Amino acid sequence: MIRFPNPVSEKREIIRVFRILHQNLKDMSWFEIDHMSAVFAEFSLAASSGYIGAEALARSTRKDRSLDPIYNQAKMYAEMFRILGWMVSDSEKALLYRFTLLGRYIANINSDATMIYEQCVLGINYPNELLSVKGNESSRVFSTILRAANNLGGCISRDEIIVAVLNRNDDNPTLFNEIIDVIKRLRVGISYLSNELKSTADRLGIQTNTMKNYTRFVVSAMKSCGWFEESEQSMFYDKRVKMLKLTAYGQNRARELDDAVDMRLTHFKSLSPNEQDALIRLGFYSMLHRAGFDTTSFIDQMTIDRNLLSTEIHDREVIFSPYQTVRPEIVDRALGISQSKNHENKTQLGLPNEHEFQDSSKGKAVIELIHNLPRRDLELPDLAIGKEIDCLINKSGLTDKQIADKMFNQYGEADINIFYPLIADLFTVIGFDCKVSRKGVNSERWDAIAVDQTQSIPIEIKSPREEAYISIKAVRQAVENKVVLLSRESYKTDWETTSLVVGYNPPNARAEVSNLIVDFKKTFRVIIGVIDFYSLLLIASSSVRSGSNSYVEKIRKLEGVISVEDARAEEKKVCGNIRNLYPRSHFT
Amino acid sequence: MGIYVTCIPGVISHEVNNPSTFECGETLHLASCVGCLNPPCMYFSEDELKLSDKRLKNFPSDVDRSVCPLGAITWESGDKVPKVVGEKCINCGICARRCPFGAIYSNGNSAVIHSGEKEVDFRSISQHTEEVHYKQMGKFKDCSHVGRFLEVNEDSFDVLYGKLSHFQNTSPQMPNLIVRNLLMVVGNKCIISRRGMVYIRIDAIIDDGSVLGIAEVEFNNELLDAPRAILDDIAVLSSRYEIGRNEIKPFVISLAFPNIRSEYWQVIQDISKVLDVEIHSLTFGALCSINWLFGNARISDIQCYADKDNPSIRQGIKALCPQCELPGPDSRGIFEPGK
Repeated sequence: MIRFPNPVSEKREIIRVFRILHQNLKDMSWFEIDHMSAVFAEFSLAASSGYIGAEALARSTRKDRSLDPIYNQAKMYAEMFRILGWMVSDSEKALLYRFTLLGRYIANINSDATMIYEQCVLGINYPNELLSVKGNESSRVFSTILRAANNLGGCISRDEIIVAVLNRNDDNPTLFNEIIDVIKRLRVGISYLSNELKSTADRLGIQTNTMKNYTRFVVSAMKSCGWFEESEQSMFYDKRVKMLKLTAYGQNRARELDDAVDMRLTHFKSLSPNEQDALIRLGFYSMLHRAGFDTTSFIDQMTIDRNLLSTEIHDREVIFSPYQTVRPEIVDRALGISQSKNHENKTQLGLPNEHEFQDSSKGKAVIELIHNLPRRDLELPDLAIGKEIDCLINKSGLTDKQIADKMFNQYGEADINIFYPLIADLFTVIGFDCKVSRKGVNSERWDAIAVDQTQSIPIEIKSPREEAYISIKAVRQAVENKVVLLSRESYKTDWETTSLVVGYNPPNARAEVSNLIVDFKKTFRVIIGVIDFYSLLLIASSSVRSGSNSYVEKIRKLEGVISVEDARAEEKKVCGNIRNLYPRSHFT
Repeated sequence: MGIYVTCIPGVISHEVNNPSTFECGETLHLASCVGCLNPPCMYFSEDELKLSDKRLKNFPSDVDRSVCPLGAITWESGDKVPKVVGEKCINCGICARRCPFGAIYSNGNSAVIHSGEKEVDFRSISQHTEEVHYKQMGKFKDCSHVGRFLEVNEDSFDVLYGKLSHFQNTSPQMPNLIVRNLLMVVGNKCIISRRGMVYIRIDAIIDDGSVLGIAEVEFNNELLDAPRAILDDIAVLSSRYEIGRNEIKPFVISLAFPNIRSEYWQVIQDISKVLDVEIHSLTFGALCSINWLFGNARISDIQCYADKDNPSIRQGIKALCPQCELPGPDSRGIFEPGK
């Protein structure tokens, strides 16, 4: 069985801990678990005997390291980071580690690391040259779960994952179909599934509960990537069963994976050395591209590599994460990275300039917002959300970021009946005269509108239930909204005023959304602004705090994808349409 | 592989339920399958799947060469000629249009490949027979075709749409492929995007040598998405491929039109009014009608703009195919909104 360690299953925490480790150990060419433990203690990332910090480290240290709590937590994290391809261990000394280029991207990207994290989760595959694991399954676990669920009525349960995915091979279409068949056969009755689970545990010689514990990361990662949501289903078994239900985003991902070429270690080894190098480059840059990085400077190389591999990949998208599949020294060589061989902690990772990450600047325009706004006395609209924010500021003493954090999570499951009016109210709090379109009025194509005598803004809203991440489709709808408004003149607007998209998370295909916004402007003069919920909360909070409507004109002209510039500075300074840094994953 | 031992005809006549015919002198012959090398009824050539517009030469197109995306034409090893699997064939007539020898007709329910006539002499492949074969194929291609593969009437649409509904969800790319192939046989070049291309979302690009078109193909109930997808397509082509927005003729190709109360018609009008982009609407049935009557529909000749004030393409189709006797308005919505 493929088993996943579970030092922590929450995505944000995984990334946060890694960034702190990287920040503190990046200058060492190699480090050990003890170095990690020291960082854990210093930054209170782990506790021991009820103590944190240095005291915890002191109390934690045991002669028998297997009994040392912090050491063990650090070791589990190391295992997790190796699985994700962010760290590797030395080929000779397994407990000697260094960061990979992929890890450096995770640590250094100024923007939301969600998309690259998602790619790393999809990159997990066995067997590989990096991890020796119990069991000999050949599997790209998360891809198979996504695709299998998509073939099985959109749902899959944890126990089905255990018996049919984590304990089976999936490296050819026949084996994949067998996984589908196994689950279909089990879905006759819940007792079949329980029996199968029990016999799997017996075969492995472990408790059923232990087996379930190995899936914590699996289930958590699938939800935090936005692919699945928890759901109770009665249509698959003879009783209601807790299952994971594919979201619309998950379905899209599954379909993309169906169309992609899944390259594994066996494929890699069957290639000539030149082809292997090409696959490493193409796989790595494709990952970055899918994660929204601007890979323009690699396009020529990717084209050459794609041509070299044309018989293997047939012009399809390639799923191959080199740092999660083959030895890092081979990957580094193919990517042109020099790496210190000695184990002295003197040299830094060599990193050619062209590997410094690049975020597209197209489709973004900075609106510098507001430091310590002078307090004005604009009357707070009589809205629950405004009063709640006001209360959090004045009674609880929360910062804008703390307020945004709190409310962001609160509405993670909101449907259109909750989310649309909420967004309209937030715009009202910011200073607009905003109202939700009435249900059934087809001629009002937009979901809400910020009414103005001459510059009304149509707003396309996507609730988290509709799509977790703002999509290209939503941007297209915003263009149509603007065209309809200009044509039917139900409210006055002009060409210079933006048409907005508001959704829960920033777009996953951010680079492409930004490019498309530029394309629309260039071709049709239509201006589109994209605001994620978190950024809107920050702006609303800042507006209430200052009692001003200072953001109104900036939003009216918003063009491109909004975000927040600096996680710490943002407590004083909120930026719209700003740089590409998202505070909820920015932990520098 | 067979060689015709008759004259090369000038005209091939088609009728429903019977093999096609051609005359050689006083003698009437039945058109018969010769078992072509690289059979055009089964595959497009690579060159056919290239646009003439060089600006799009690197467009990431689907290179599926199948003429029948439903896989209804098969050629078993050992057989002299291919055959049509009746259950899989929806009667669109694309393969019939591709056959240079006119050997494919409809029995009303599916296409049939007629073979076995004595005028076709089957020989083993040699350089000589190959040369003769391709020469004959070229000459037959110059023949004009008269008559019809199917009558354009309710019965034909019932078969077409009824059978298509069984295959509609077999592959996400199927609608795009079948529309590509239809557009090609009625006089255009056409390519469709590869699936999974996040950055190129255009369903089809059409090129008739003088006009460049784009098409959004919508066979499900998401027709309202199509106009905005068209704007996306134009923006991408214009901004990234430097093709002037006025050079691009946009089409929405659906299975059927929505009813007149649908926002679709109003949005098409809004786009025309505000952006000066006229989106032409076509249906699968309308394109098949033209094909069934061996008509052409080069995109430069298609005038099928329809909107809230005039939601019909009947005149546009009649202009393309004067010989078409189109059935009156029906519930299906092929030439105007369904009732």
